[in-house]
Formats: sequence, structure tokens, C-alpha cells
Amino acid sequence: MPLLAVENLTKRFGGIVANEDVAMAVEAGEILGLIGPNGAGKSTFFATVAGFLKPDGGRVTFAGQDVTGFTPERLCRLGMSRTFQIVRPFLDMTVLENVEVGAYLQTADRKLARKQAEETISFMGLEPKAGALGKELTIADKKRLEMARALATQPKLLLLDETMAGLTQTEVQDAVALVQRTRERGVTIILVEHVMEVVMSLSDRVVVLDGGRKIAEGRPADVVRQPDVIKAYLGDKYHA
Amino acid sequence: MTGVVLTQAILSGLLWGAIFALIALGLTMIFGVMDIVNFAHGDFLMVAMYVAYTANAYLRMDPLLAIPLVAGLMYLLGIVVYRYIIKRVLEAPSVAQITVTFGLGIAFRALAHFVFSADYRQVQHPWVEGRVQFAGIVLGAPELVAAVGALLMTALLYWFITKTETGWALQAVAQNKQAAALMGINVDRFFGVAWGLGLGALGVAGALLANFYYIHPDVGAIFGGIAFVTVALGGFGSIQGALVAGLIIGLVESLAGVFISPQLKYAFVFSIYLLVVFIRPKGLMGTT
Amino acid sequence: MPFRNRSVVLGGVGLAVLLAIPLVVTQPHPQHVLIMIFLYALMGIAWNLVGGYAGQVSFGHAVFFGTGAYTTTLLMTKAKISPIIGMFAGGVVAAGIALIIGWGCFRLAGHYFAIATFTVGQMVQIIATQWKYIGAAVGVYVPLDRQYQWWLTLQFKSKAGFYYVALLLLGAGLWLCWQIGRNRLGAYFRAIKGDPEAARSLGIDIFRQKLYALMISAFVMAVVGGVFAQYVLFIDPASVFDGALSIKVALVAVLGGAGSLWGPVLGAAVLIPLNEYTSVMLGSSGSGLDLLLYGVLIVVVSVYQPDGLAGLWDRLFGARGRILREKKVTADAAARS
Repeated sequence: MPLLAVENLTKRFGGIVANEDVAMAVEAGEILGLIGPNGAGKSTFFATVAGFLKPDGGRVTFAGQDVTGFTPERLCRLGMSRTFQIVRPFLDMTVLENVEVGAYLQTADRKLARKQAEETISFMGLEPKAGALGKELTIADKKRLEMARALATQPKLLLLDETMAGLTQTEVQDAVALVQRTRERGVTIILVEHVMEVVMSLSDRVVVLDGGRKIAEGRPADVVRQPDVIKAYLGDKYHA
Repeated sequence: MTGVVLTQAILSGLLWGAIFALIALGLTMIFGVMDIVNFAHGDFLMVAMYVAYTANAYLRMDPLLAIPLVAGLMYLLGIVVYRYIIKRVLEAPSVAQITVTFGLGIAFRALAHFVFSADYRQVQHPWVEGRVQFAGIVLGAPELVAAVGALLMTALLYWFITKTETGWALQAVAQNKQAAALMGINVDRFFGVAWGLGLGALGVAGALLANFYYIHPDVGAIFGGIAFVTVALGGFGSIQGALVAGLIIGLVESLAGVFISPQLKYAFVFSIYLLVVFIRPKGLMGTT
Repeated sequence: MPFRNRSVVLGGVGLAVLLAIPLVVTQPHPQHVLIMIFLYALMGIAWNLVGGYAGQVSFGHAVFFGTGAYTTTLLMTKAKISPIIGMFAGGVVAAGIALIIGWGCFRLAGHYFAIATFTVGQMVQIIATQWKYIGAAVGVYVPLDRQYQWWLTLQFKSKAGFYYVALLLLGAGLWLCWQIGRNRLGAYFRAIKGDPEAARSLGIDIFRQKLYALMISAFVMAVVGGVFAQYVLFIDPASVFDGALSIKVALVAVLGGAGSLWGPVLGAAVLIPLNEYTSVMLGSSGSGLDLLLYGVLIVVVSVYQPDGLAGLWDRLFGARGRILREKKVTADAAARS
């Protein structure tokens, strides 16, 4: 049974159909990449699955339970966490405090939460910055913090929204390593990414959206050769 | 006989409703354009009333004649308040924005106390006084004039916002400051204009009220409270909402006062407000 | 470590001074002012839970204060129950009312919420003024305990007794907020204030947390109301459901520094004496200058120091006042201390 199963997901904004009949399944332990040209509906899909938007049609099943339309906080408690494309750290709280907020999901005990937060911070390599305020961090560190915070909730499924955007080459490499290590800890991951090399190297499977619909699915090497995918990104003139 | 009483109550309520609407207009406009709730709104109305009173007492100007003067002075006051105080808290936490206007209200109230003392004042020998009678219904003439004046002013402002370039600029700023700025609109200047217009509208309302209402330093309190409820009911930022809500509140206040209990009438106004807002948190026609 | 020792010593000295004050300052009026400072500081702290931490500005807190005053007093007059128990009963009733108000109003954003609390406050005052069972506009006299069995009735022969009770309550309130601040509730409040959407993505049910904040806040307000009733021995809707009280409480917290633990104490220490002494100095002839000063002070603080006096304290003296935050290991803090 897949950890996450999405069927016929549709989301409209007035006259615009951002997602149309999108279906996919994610198995536990997978890293699934979600790609597509700008405006394909990736972020909308994420937001809908994660509960920030209510779907206009379709169904989302998580760990065997129908969670369609559940609020983000409820989904988080069931084991689904997400990061945001435009990072949202708690600016006036320290890195440690930020991550503690995540850790508190699993425990009400102050000391346990701190311990869990410290573990997560060291896992993410943020130790030197533990006492810095959210607003004092660099963009790369903010992204790391975002991920650390989500990880502290001990999710089964983590939705990463364009974590690599705006990072330098070295930073990207570090981030990729982090994602891999996270999966090794047993977290299933769906990532939305524009940086192709990242998606291709990280993902076990890839789903391609274009114009709100799913146009391809499969292993990265296979998907990238499909004419529909090439056309979506580059237009009619190119082929494999 | 209740038919007459009912009609009387309804007309009286609509009359006051129009006045409430004009008072609420400034509040909703300022909020619509810059997301600031002016908690001193009632006290600025009080200031306008005192200005009208002063013009009457020392320049022998009839309040109705003084409307342009009062409105103009209040407009300038609005610009000054914006430029020297409000502008500095635009980037501050919203708590600071709330308290700064609060502080202003307290300061103006205290100033009025100091200059005019707590005595109730009244304009002497206004042009319009006395009553209007028809079909068994009695309405105060100045109240009627005030209501008509309020409606005219509301219509004028509505026309201004929707049909002039300045009005369009204000709407642009209200909807998207950054985009407006990119279009070359001097957002700062229009924030000032919003304040000017907001207080200017109060100037008109104040002059109209000064015609017949007792003036004292705390007179702003109840009007301010009603203004808030009106704006919240009609929806922050909506001029039509302010008009509709003002009329509703005027009606509720009047009908409740006549048919249920004068002491409880405000409780009714407030509970209607709470009821509507519970069902529609953004008010009847709220935009933001 | 020296920092720790220093503040413990300072705290001890401060406490000793506070305890000794009534022995030195024996005139009733200064004692009254101090009692008011403590009570308003405590109410400011209560207000802070909702307004500062959770970020919802309330202009109707007098509802809870009045509930406490009336519950305590009515339990005394109608059932002969000691106000010490009555205080807590009042707290529970107020928390229940908070649940209703919060449930209805928390779906309203920022300004709408503030106005809604203001209207609820006005409504409660109007209804209380008409409600015969609780004495309507006439009010209720608190039964005077002629034997001054203060352990039962919290009524003292001199103000000194009230001073210690108020100080004790303030201490308890500070302790409570300190505990809230360092545990999950406090972390969740700050998260909600910082970024509500991010907070939701971490599993925080914003609505529920705000309800908790309001209920605790209401409980504390009611306890203060109960004590106040024993202090003034007469309550009526005009005094205990007063909109001006709601506003004063909010101003104490905001002026002192919403979102910091000690802020309201500073705020009360400045605002209450200002209130009390200027109206004495300038006379109650209504010259209004005391209020003018009040208003100007609020404007100035809002514009130049939105963090309130606590923020100013921070800037001048370092991180001493901020018990809400871990000691920062940044260059900033190092340079300051």
C-alpha cells in the first residue's frame, strides 16, 4: 500500500484550472521528484495535498486514511510535514527555538523537545548557528532551518518545496546529501524542484506536470527522454 | 397609532444612519488605503465639532456655512497627522499602530478639556433650527439637514473615488501598494491624501452635527464606537459597505430604542454586529 | 556564571526592599498607588498572554475582571463563601466566558477581533447595568468583615495587608507566565505570533492555542477582580466592567512592552503613578493635562519604541529583562554586555 495516494486531484482558481485530475502514488521510503515547467501547477499541488488549499475534486489517502480536505495542522499530526518555497522561519526566535516548535509536536516536555531539537540541528549541520535569530540567517541556512524544523516533527512524509532554489553549487551539493541522509532515516520525500541535475540524481521516480495535468511518470532517465516532456520544457522544435 | 410610531422610528433611524455612514466613511477609507485603524476617529470628530463651534462663537459663522472651512482644516490636520506621526509607525508592529492612534485620541480629548473645559457647549442661533412636521411625524430640521448633507457628502466621496484620477490612484494604492508604486504613483503622498479625506469627511460630519448636538470633550466616544461597529459591519475598506452598515445601525438603534428599551438599544446594535461578523467575518462587503 | 549570581543577588535585594516598603511608607495614598501598580501589572501580564504572545489585541478584558469581582462578591453575599474560594470560582467562570468569546471571535483577524472585544465589553456593561439579580446599576456592597479574619475574607484593617496580597499575586502571576513562556504553550504562542501559516505546518492548532491563552488570561483577570472587590468593598457595572479599564490594561502591557515578561510591570510602574499623581497635582478640575501627558507618552513610545519600555531597557542594559529568550550567542549581545 502506498504511503500517499492521490486520485483525480483537481484545483481551480476561478476560471483557471491549476490542477486537473492529477493522480500519483508514493511508496514508503521513496524519493519522488515533481517537475514541470513554470506554471505547471506543482506548488498548487503541494499546497493542496498539504492542506493549505481545499481541492475541488479528487481524493488524498495517507497511510491508508482518507485525508482529503484535512487542515495542515491535522495532516502534520498524522505525519505529513512540508517546507515552504519562500522560507518562513520564525524571525524573532533562535534556530534552536524554531526547531523546538517542531519537536513539541511529539512531546510536551520541555527537556525532551530541546534534546530532539538539538539532535535534529546537529543532523542538519546547523549547530554553529543554534543561537542565531531566524532573521540573522543566510538564505541557505534559512532553508536548512526550514527543513530541520519540519524534520523535528518526525514526519513519515516530507514535502520539500524548491529547497534548492537560490543556492550556490556547494550549497546544493550539501543539500542533496542532506536529503539523502533524511531518506536513510526512514522519511519518505516528495520534492518539487527546478534544478534538473538535483531532481534526476536524487529521485527514485519522477512525475511531470504540465498545464495542470500529469504528462509523464517513471524513472528519471526514462522520463527525460519522453517527447511530451521535452516538448513541455523546450517547445516543439527539440527531440531526444 | 403604532404605524406612525414605527414610521417615525424608521425615518429617525435612517436619518442617523446616514450620519453614521458619513462618520464611518473616513475610517473605512483610511483602513482601505493603508491598513491602519484610526482608533482616535471619534475624537477627531469631536475636534471637528469644536472647530465648527469656534467658528460660530468667534467668527459668527453658521455651522452650515462653515462646512468648507471645517472640512478644509480637518483635511490639513489629516495630512499633518499622517506626515508627522502615522508615517513613522507604518513599519511598526500592529500593536504600535493601534496604540499610537489611541494615544492621539487621548491627547486630543485632553486638549479639548484643557481649552474648552468639560462644559457642554452649543452653537448659538443656527440658521436651521426647529422641526419639520408631516403626517404626524416629527423630525428635527437640523437633523434632517445633517442627514441630507451626509448623504450628499457620501455620494460626493464615492464619485471622487470612482471617477477621478486621484480617486483611482487611491484605489490602486489600496489594492496593491507595490504595483501602484511601480506605476509611478507616489504612495506616500496618497497615504496623506487618504488621511486628509478621512478627516475632511469628519469635518463635514462635525459641522453638520454641531448644528444641533451638544459638544463636549468626550462626545467622540460614542460616535467613535458606532463608527467602528459600522465599518466592521460593512467591511473594512468598503464605501458602499459603510453606507449600508450605517443605515442598518441607525435603524437598529432607533427601533430598539423605541420598541425594546432605550437603555438596551446599544446592546442590540452590538449584538447585531457580533451576529453578522460571526457569520461573515469580513463584514457585509469587506474587501481585505 | 557571574551574570547568574549577580541577578540572583539583585533579585533577593529587590524582594527584600519590596517586602519592607509598607513598613517605611505608611501613608495610605502611596500604599494605594503601589497596590494599584501591582494589580495593573498583573492584569497587564494577563493581557499579554493574548495580546503580546498570541498577538490578538483585546479591548474588552474588563469583562473578565468584572466577572471575577461579581462572582466573588455574590458568592459572599448569597452563599457566604469565602472570597479566597470565590476568587478561583470567578476565575473558572471567566475562563468559561473566555471560551465562548474566543470561540466566537477568534476567527476574526486582528483589527476585527479588537473591535469585537470592545463591543462585547460594552454589551456586558450595558446588560449588567440592567440585570436586577446582580444589583443592576446600583451595584453590590461587599459584606464587611468586622473581625478582619483576613485569612478568610482577604479584608485587612490597613492597606499594608492588601499590599502583600497584591505583591504575592503579582509574584505568582510572573511565575505562571515564566513557566508558560519556557514550555510548549509559550513556544507555540510565539510561533503563532511569528508566522501563523508556518505554525500550522508544524501541527499547531492556532484556534485552540488562542483559546488556551484567552482562558488563562481571563482566569488571572478574574482573580484580580476578586481581590479588588475586597479592597474597595463596593462594586458596580460602571466601575468593574468599565471600558476605560480594558484600555488601561492594554496600554500598561503595550507601553511596558507586549511580548516580554517584565514589560507590563514597567508599564504599570510608569502609567499608574502618572495617572494617580497628575490628577492629584493638577487637580480634578478637569484641566486634562494629566491625560494629555498620558496620551503624548503613548504616542511617543509607540513611534520611537514599539517594543515598549522593556525594549528600551534591553537596549540600555542588555538582555536582563528578557526571560523569554535564550541568551543569544551573537556578536550583538556580546557587544552589549
